[in-house]
Amino acid sequence: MKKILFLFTIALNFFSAITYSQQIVEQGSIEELRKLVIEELILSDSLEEKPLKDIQGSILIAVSDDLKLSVEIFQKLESSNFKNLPPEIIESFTLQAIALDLSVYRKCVLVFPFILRVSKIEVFEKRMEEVITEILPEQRFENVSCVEYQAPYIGKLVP
Amino acid sequence: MRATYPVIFICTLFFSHLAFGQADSSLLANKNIRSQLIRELIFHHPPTGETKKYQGYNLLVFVDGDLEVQVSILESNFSSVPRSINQEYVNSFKKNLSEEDLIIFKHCLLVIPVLHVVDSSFEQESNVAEGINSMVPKVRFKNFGCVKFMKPILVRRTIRI
Repeated sequence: MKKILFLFTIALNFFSAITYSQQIVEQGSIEELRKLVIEELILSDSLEEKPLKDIQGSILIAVSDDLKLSVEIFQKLESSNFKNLPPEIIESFTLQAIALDLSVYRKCVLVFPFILRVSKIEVFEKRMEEVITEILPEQRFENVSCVEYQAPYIGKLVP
Repeated sequence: MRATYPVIFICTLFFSHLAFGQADSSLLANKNIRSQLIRELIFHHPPTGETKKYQGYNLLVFVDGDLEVQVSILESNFSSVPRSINQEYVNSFKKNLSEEDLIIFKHCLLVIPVLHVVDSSFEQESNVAEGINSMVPKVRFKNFGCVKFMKPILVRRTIRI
């Protein structure tokens, strides 16, 4: 472990693009997974509740070594920061997701930021600071072999 | 010894909404680091390319075991190779930080999403979605002992012609 840390330090010290990019590499990408996250998790949950305000947050998906999934949704609520999704929504998502080949995400934590806008664009732009801090919440990952943020989903809901 | 009591009392009042001593110091360190990041690094490094209303990038700050700091900028719109920052800026960033500010981030890679907003006297096309998108680091962070994604920073500039 010490040796690995030492190597990191060296790589970052020299800061040459090549050694650095060994630690920061291109993302894996599965369009179908993204589609599932949007349709099954982001939209299905919020459409039921018919939001009156803009909703922003992140979906966190951890893929285990044996490609099992765990899902959490980070959305700022008055009571807590983590919202519990109904188990049937998670189950339906997981069933469809494990049918995909997720091996590029083995041992990865995936973060899908999302915004569902209800308000007018002018109103939305005024609260930009709040929006960005809520779609990308503070997170500390320790000893994870892979963390990957995905392109945010930005949708408009018709009230 | 007696003199320290009022100080402790004031601190307790100030932080009474927080439950843990640990959280206090990291909160202060965070605040200090954020203001230094804005003043010494972000301010001097606008996003490259044509000026748009909303444009984002990520600051990558690595604090090593000796509390040495390296900083680079990851512009997700261009490539996944970070653009390095002149050490002079990094030195002035470090100058105003204490050891305590950095010690909680030892061996950590800090990722700070930054959104630049340009207010111009010209009418600009609003590219909100594109701007928010460019603020998300679209790379894979592999095998880091610690990666901390910090609260995004929004900076505004005004351009008058």
